[in-house]
Amino acid sequence: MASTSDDIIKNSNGLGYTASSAAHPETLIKPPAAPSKGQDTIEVRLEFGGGLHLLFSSQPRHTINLPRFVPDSDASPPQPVNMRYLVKWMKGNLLSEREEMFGDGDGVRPGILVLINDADWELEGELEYELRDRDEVVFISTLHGG
Amino acid sequence: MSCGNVQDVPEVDVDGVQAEPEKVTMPRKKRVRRIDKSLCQRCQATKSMYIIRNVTYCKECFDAAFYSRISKTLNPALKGFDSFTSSRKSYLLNGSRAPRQTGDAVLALSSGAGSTSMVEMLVSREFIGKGDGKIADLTKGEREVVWDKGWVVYVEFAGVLEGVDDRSEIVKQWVDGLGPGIRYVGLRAEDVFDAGLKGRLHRLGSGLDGVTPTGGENGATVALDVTDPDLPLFSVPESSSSTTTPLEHLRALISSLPPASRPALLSSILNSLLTVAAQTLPNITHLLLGETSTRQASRLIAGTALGKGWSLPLELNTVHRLDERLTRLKPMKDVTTKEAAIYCHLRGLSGWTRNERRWELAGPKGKRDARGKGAVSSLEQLTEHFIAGLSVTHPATVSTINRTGDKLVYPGLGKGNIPDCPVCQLPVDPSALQWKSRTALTSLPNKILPGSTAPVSAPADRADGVTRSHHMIEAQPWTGDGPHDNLAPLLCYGCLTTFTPPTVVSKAVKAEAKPVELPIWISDNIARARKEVGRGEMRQQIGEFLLDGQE
Repeated sequence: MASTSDDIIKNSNGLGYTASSAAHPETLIKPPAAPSKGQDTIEVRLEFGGGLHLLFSSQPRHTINLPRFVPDSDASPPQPVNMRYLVKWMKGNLLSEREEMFGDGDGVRPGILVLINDADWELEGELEYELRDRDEVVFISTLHGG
Repeated sequence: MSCGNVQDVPEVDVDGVQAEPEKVTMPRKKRVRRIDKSLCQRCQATKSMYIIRNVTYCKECFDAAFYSRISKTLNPALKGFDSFTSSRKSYLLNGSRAPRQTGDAVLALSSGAGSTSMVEMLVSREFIGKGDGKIADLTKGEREVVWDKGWVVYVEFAGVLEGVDDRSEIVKQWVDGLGPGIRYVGLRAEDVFDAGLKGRLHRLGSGLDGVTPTGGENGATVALDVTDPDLPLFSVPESSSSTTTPLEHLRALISSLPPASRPALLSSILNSLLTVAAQTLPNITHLLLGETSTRQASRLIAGTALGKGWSLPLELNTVHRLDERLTRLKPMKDVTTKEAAIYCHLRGLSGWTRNERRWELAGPKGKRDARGKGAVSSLEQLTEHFIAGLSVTHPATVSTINRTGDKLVYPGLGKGNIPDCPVCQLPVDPSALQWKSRTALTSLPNKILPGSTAPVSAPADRADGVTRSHHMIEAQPWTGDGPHDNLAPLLCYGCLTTFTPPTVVSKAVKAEAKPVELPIWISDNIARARKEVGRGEMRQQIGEFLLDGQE
């Protein structure tokens, strides 16, 4: 269920999060997702662990901007960008070597753990998760090789 | 609500007695407990963050479950299964903290998620003390440590893996920051050729400088011709081996093996270095490995494929006694790699860990890669990918494989003293060579080369300073007696397949091939096996003069 700005106003303690979420920062209410006028991109932070950064120009952290809606899509209403789009975008724009070590079909290779805002992506809908502004996605390789 | 079937006429049995009409009811729907996966299934109050084996956890509950899983494996093992009796069962299995151990622990660290989370947890949960010998005052709520001191042993393989960075300094920095009770021991894969390794470890352990390094047991090194299926052994004069560095020796050995066999050799090197460190450092009673259940499942399948079935139960055991003093433990056995990776992420260590050890990069690339038949070259790697795929499509499979592994029993129990394989140091399958000779056409000791009439005989002396120690003998299944000029009869089936040369070796390659020196631990074990056989021979010779009790 998406939080609205009304929810924030009703439950807010003035600190930007609800009292119940204070003990558990993972339940922090996100800022309203509605884009402001003229804003058509979202910022996504990417982090790589377990040695996976070696495939991404050896940089453990990246901050990227994605279009809010999937470009060149005939869908009506426009489709918000999701993890499927992000993985595809990463393969085309960020991955510097050995694509087979990261991707598998539309998704990521088995053995790569994905956390969206610190939560397991299996609980968030995996590839169908719709990305929001300032989301943080962590990819950790658990494959050991050898 | 029931709906009796009114149309049914009560049946009359043969005695004319009317049978009791059976009440037919609508089958009651089995109540299915709906689980809200958005909530933590443990505390039922907080948003779930992680899903492990179909159970959802919030952060706090994940942390608690992780600790509980490790302590339930570790504590019973330390409480002493030797004295396991039914009356002590609840005490042993309740997961309460194990008593203080008499010695210290060696923690094997690869900087992967499994071993990193193990080391971090053992230190943060005060399983390892501060090395000051302090006894906790339980009346003041202090927690008793299990080991007074811990040695973290890291083995660097960068020297033999092309393009892999040396991380020993980074690892050392992290280990040094863990606290006063933890000491860092940095080893390199090529140390298996370093005669001064034990001396270095002694010096490190005692904190004394100037102790004379002690080398291998016999000081002599042995070389091996890996192009011959019999694996003939050669003795190497000390003068010829001293000019080459340990790293060059290791690279030569790795290059001489087929690419698919190299990870198995590197695994044996890792095991041998960890064992040497644990046996040489002072007062060590436990060697702890961070092998997760995912790796165990992979090891089980790969070990089966590699022909290690005979000793596999010993390799998979949570508790394995290496000698009278030293026990190897696998406290992470019930933790998946995913859990370990999440734990490291929660501790801010996921950027630091390296889960890929990339052993497939050791040595020159094989022809398969050049022909584009796929980069995967070892059974270990293939198995790992298979297990990773299974854990996504069939999430319960990893634990099922491990449960099967737990049921395996070592077949050599009660069969007397079975010799150990000089490479993997696990008991040798007595019929390994016979089995090999039945299944593969690899041993042809007296084969005749096309165009020649005489059997191939090894040159007596070589220009490179390597000489045959004995005349070549015909390869025969080892019966437990007789001298060993070949390595093959001493090896277990798994190591035999590791050292087996490719089926087709070109004449040019064979002509160029030189015997490669074997690591010190293998040379020592071969020497020990020879001594034991020598004793056996002597016993045979004087057997008729011995009294019954003396045999």
